[in-house]
Amino acid sequence: VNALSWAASSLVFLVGISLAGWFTDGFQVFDSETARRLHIARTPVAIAAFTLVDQSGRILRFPDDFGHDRMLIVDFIYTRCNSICSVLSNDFERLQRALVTRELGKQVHLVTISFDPLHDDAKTIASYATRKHSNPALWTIASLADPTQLQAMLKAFGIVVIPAPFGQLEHNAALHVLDGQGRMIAIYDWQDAEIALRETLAFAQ
Amino acid sequence: MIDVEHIPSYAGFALIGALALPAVRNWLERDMVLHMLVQLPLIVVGGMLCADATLRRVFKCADWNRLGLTGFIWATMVVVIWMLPKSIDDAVAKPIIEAMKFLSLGIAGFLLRDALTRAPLPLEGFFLGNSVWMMATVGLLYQSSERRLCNAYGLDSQVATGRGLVIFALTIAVVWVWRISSNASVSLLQTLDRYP
Repeated sequence: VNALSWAASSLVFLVGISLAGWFTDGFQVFDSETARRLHIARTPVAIAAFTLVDQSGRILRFPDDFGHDRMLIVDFIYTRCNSICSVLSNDFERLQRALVTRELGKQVHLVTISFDPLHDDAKTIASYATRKHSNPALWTIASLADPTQLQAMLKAFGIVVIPAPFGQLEHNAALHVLDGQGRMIAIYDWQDAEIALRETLAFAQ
Repeated sequence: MIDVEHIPSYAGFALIGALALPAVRNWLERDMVLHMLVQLPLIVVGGMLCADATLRRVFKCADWNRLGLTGFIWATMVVVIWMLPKSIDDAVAKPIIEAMKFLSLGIAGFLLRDALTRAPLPLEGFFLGNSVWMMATVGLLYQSSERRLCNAYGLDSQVATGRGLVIFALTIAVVWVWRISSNASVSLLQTLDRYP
């Protein structure tokens, strides 16, 4: 093999390794959900404002109207969902009980947002909230007041919604922690509600 | 004037161009199986078709792809990169990454054809063997993961892609074994002849 071939092989190898390293954040992450979480943990992202209508029919600007001295734990659902979202909401119901018993309502607030605003209007959200026994003072369940803001909101949080069989939707379900300034600072697995609450309180200190 | 001997090359460029059309891209990328097992291989095939003798001479491939080493290294790395769930997600979400996907796989096809025409059998076996087991391993991972690895695709589609990757890998292995067994002795002698 001549020198030119060796040089070309080495060059191609270096370019390939650099590309692979760049794509995987230095060979650390191999899927985009892990990458999203790592990115947020390193560099918190300010969430651009959008408008919600909650279970009591109130219009709320997110994140400004949620209090500047409270941490938020945010998740995303749609009320027609018959799989993971119902589990998510059951976990939030449990978290809500924890907020009551440990009197943490001043420090942490729960927010559930629908990503199906065309179906989930104020009335649907209200009846869903009743089913989940949510107390608006501790747990806001809301839909977008203006459905055209949906894509911008999903993009801000890094949520990808895809169609699933039987008219269902699938999304990268997770718990998103926002600090008092409306910046997303951490993302947890949807199974890790307890850990999310514990660490959110630690962030609040 | 269209030269008959260049028709496959034109067809290769036309194939890649057609695959890059937004409508075709959206159609093939709506499902993970179509994306990874139809679109990606077709881009490589397009690159292979492009690599006719004239173009390979124009790019002086013989000078810097002797033994096919450059081509094999590039193709192997590119195949690995585009089997990662994150790359697949990024390709769907970000136009720049999508462009890089088309370019890198097209070049991989081009160099691979050049490499296959002049690589000694052991080298060919080494790189193809590596790609085959990596592809099969990723296929098994896609099947066994209970978590969605791509935000853009569902779990069912991920499992189907995993099965497809294993079948694809086995097919490459079988075709290669068939290819060498039909002229094994000749190839080996040629190898020894050319590279004492």
